[in-house]
Amino acid sequence: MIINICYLYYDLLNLYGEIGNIKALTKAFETQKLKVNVDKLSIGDKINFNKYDLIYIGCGTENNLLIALNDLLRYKNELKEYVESNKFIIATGNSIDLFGKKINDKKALEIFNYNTKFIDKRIVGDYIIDSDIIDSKIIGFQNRGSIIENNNISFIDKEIGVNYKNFYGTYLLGPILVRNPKLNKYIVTKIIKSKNSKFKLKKYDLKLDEAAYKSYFETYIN
Amino acid sequence: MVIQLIICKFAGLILKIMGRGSNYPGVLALKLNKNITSYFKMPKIVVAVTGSAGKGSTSTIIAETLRKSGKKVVHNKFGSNMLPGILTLLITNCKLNGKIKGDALVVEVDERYTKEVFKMVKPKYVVITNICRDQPPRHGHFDLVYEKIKEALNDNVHLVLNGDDPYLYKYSLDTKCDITYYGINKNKYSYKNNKFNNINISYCPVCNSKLNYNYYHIESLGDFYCKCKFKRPNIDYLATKIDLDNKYMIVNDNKVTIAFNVLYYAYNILAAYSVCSLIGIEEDKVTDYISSMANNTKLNELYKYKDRNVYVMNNKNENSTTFNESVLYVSNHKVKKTIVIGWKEISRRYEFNDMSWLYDIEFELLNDKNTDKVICVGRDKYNIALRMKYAGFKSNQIKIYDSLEEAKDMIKNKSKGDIFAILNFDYVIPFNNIMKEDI
Repeated sequence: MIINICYLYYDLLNLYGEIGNIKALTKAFETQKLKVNVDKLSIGDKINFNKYDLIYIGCGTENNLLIALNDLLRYKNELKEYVESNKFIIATGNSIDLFGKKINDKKALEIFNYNTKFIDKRIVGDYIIDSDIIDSKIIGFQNRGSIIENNNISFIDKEIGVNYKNFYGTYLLGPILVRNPKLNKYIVTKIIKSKNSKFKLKKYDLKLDEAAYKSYFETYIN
Repeated sequence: MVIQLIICKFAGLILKIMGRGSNYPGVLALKLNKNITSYFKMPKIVVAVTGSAGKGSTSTIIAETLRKSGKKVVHNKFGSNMLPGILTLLITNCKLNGKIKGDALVVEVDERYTKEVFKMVKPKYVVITNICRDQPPRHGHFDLVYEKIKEALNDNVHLVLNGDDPYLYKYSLDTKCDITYYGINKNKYSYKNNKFNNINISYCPVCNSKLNYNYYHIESLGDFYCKCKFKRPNIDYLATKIDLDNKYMIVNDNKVTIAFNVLYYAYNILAAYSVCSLIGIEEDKVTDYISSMANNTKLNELYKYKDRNVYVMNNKNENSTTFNESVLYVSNHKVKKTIVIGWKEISRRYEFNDMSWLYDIEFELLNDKNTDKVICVGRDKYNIALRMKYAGFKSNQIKIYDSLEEAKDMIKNKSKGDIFAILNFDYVIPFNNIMKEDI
């Protein structure tokens, strides 16, 4: 089994260490003795949606986000089909803005019904919250200049994320899968099982990831 | 206004006698009369230096060079670079009629306060050293900093910019300012293919095509061009030859000493060289003055521990560019080595504990056959260690310690090769103290 990942707008939407997620995913698949292929795609590149098990997209400056939107609009229908057919997308930071109906007054990809808009202030800070998909708290960080409105497909919570089928989007930025090893394990396992439900999982090697996760609480919360 | 000025001057004097330097006179002045900022009469030469990194050293080199040329210079050399700090500087150094007592004013300005400060000091020359990924919780991101500085500029300003930086070159599209460029020519450190994944500009700001490079110096700096007209400008002050190990570069036939052997220091010197030449000091004199300045060991240090070289690199946490420069510097040294990475705290300014910036740094460049161990120290040791895991280091190469004291034995006795310490500034002195215990 080969896992094909598309790292979309790797050179444009890469504002807060998003590449960490690609590293965490790749390493986790590799501990399952699976081959991983990552295609870095960006403006003007042809995207072969059939090829990919996962599309990852990170956050960018407001300016770069709109450049990405202009480029991605050509694949509006293919993206919708990709999501509907239960394939995986992970969107972190303000890239979730792309998938709603509108960003400000500009038409977005219209895959979901929410709207987003840019605001003058930035929403900044650590964010720790219970999640309904894993049995431990998710830790993350926000640094954004947009907000989401009328979101009814909540992921983590409705102010901060969206989940529909295997689309996971969150305003939490950067290497969220590095910081939350259980979330990484959950996503990786789910992708593998979606390709082969009988796959026998090996033990993940996330000892250091767990130690960092634990130390965050010990150092900063307690 | 004069009375208010006297009160503030007096407050400053009292504090000085009490041995306390502070921004209080400026803070007080703003409370007494907001219009005081327009009271001052500037000297003929006013230089402002702003940007994410290097503004302190650059402004110091400029101020010192002007001083050596015989000018009386007023400079905020202790780094109070926001409005109250610079206002305090003016209050302390003006006559009662508001006239600044000097031939030149040189100010380092926090990038977020450029608008207020520029309005007050009306700089003729503005150096923007760089706009990099720096303290994201405070600044948001680089585009916001770019816009802030843009708002502070007017057509009378003469910009002095790094012409190797396509991101700064956008100011030539967005302003009508005169611009002088400095830069570095292709040299033995330049490379052909991009080494850094997370850079601020990869696309042409005119036509959105991917930028091409004849060569890179670091991150997005280099000889860039687009298929449209956007390309690296003509460089007015070009370092044609640069040798960091022997600490010099050639600028317009002058051999200029670089106080420490890192690229960004060379850029700081070039910025200062350009400004001082523009002001009218002869280039051979500028060269002499700059070259005679002492090594600024606050920035970086090199010494011996027994038979091992110890390289100490001073970085700013949450500023991936300073770390990337250190990482590139280390990777250019093809010797057996041990790497130490650590800090006391992520930020002394705020309570946020974001780790994302660690993934903007290309630590992968450290992972080659020459590296023996990576020693991760401090309260974020596990996060540093985890970053090293994802940089491809094996678990037996990654050593984890709570403190420098606990890491001491590993650094001194159980690791191999030269020691490269990539530290936040809050660990530099503690690290040096520990190393120098038994040199």
